[in-house]
Amino acid sequence: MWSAKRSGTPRMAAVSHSAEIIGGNDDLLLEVLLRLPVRSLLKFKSVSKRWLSLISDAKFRLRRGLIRNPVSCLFFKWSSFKELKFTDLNRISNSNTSTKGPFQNSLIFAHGDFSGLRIIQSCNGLLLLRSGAYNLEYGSSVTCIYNPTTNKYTKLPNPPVRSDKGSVVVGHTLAFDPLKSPHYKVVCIRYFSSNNVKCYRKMEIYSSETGSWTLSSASLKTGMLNAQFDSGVFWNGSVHWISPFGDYLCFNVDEERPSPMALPSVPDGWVEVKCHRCLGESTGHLHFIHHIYKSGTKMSYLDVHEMEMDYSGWFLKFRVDLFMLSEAYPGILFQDLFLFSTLCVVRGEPEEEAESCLVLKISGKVMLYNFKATTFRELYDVESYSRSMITNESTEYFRVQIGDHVVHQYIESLAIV
Amino acid sequence: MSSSSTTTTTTRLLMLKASDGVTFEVEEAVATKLGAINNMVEEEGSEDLICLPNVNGKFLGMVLEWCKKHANNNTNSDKGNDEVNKWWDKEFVMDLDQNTLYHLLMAADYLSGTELVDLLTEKVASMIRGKKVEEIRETFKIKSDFLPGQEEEIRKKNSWAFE
Repeated sequence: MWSAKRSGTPRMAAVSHSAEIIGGNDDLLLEVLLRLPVRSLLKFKSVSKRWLSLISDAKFRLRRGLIRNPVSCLFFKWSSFKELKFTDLNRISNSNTSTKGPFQNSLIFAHGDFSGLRIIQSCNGLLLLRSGAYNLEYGSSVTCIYNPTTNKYTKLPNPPVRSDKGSVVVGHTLAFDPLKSPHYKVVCIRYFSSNNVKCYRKMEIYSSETGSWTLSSASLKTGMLNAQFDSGVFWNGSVHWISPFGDYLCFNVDEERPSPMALPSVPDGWVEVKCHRCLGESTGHLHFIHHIYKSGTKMSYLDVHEMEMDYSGWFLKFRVDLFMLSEAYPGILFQDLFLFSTLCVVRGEPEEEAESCLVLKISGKVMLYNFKATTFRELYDVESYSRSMITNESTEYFRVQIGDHVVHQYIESLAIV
Repeated sequence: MSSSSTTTTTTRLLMLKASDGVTFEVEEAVATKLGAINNMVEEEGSEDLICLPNVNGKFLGMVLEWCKKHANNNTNSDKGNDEVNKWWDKEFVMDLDQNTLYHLLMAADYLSGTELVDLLTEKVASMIRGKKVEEIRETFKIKSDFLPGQEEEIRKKNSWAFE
């Protein structure tokens, strides 16, 4: 007994000694901290003053910003304008460390500074929030950049008045890529118009580095009159817009260069279901979701195309056979129509490609479809939520009915706004 | 090692001596993956015995084993090398106990084996990411030095991370 004890003690001491040395070595400890999820970092701020100062250090935040974070949750916009459902994706890899968002199940912009704000866009960890009707002249509207992880926000100044005649600013898009710069930009489109002169458009760009707006010399000339400028997608240094008629435009934010782009073409003999179109970004990939079918056959596919990093073209990344899918989930097929809304594609990290998922809304439920495993999982029951709202407040029910089918991907970030 | 005269002229052997006197004979191309050894060879040549008083034989052996695997994989110029290295890295850290892991990390850091330090810090991070604050303090022998109330305030600010 005596000897066992004696041989045990030095080994125990050696373990704690080596860990203590690692913990006391700033360089090694920083290397370890850099590899932790943002959530763990926030938690470990309360270990000691030294850990707090290492994690809060601006240089550390910058270095941590260079590491891509996975999508951990989804925001659903339609629940109401005030309240946003915040649903944990509960990825397989995180099943033992389940990731809850920073606001329990919902994020409520109903009081104080956030009164009336809505999420316009989620971009690499930061949210663009706006209040007021988006196409009104400034005055009543507010634009904020918000980091939900750190619960910090900043209110942007309004763009300056540019013309004595009326000009309108629309379509705010946040351009933030921490892998390239800790600063962000906000791009929007200014319409100049008068009674005699045809309306023309220029880009307004706000830079967080300078804290000011500049009117870009680049103008958007042709087409794109019907582009959905209020749902721009930022990817690879550019903002991308599509119009319901298939026009596609991208604008390189740093070079202030607009260029027209082509969407994936519909093969001969095939028909596209335009209302299932969806353009989106997920952890560094630009996707265009495309529903095509061959009439009179059992060939109906939801294709996820991905853009090459050098813009050389689209390639088919995932294909979902909708007839096969309807066998697993009959609710999607009504007579010979596929009834669903395309919400987004969520990409797993390179090493977790198997976790890439498609988010669809089918008969009032938000479903997560795993491309590789071809399995379905219910994320959120919109209909039962709306039903619960009727009993609570009739106006809420109205909002649920008209709410946009918009999903925002949430990424944890330490980025400074 | 190799009987061919062409390879013996290109692969020089280095003699490394650990703190506990254990010696290793290693190909220069393998050992110089470690920045510290590469510097010593460049400054003092490779003729003499290289003494490493801060690493014991067990951990030096493990570090060299890792270097050897990576050096071998990289000589086969297949494009699958990255995959092989990744697989082997996973295997290498899979069953490391805490004691070995932290000692190995110190050894890799001392020998400036950057890639190995990356691999081992990644492993440490994966081991501590889900731990409680109290467990972190226990592992690294840290005493909380916050003033009364300070810690609660920090916890409150980030309360969602504790759920």
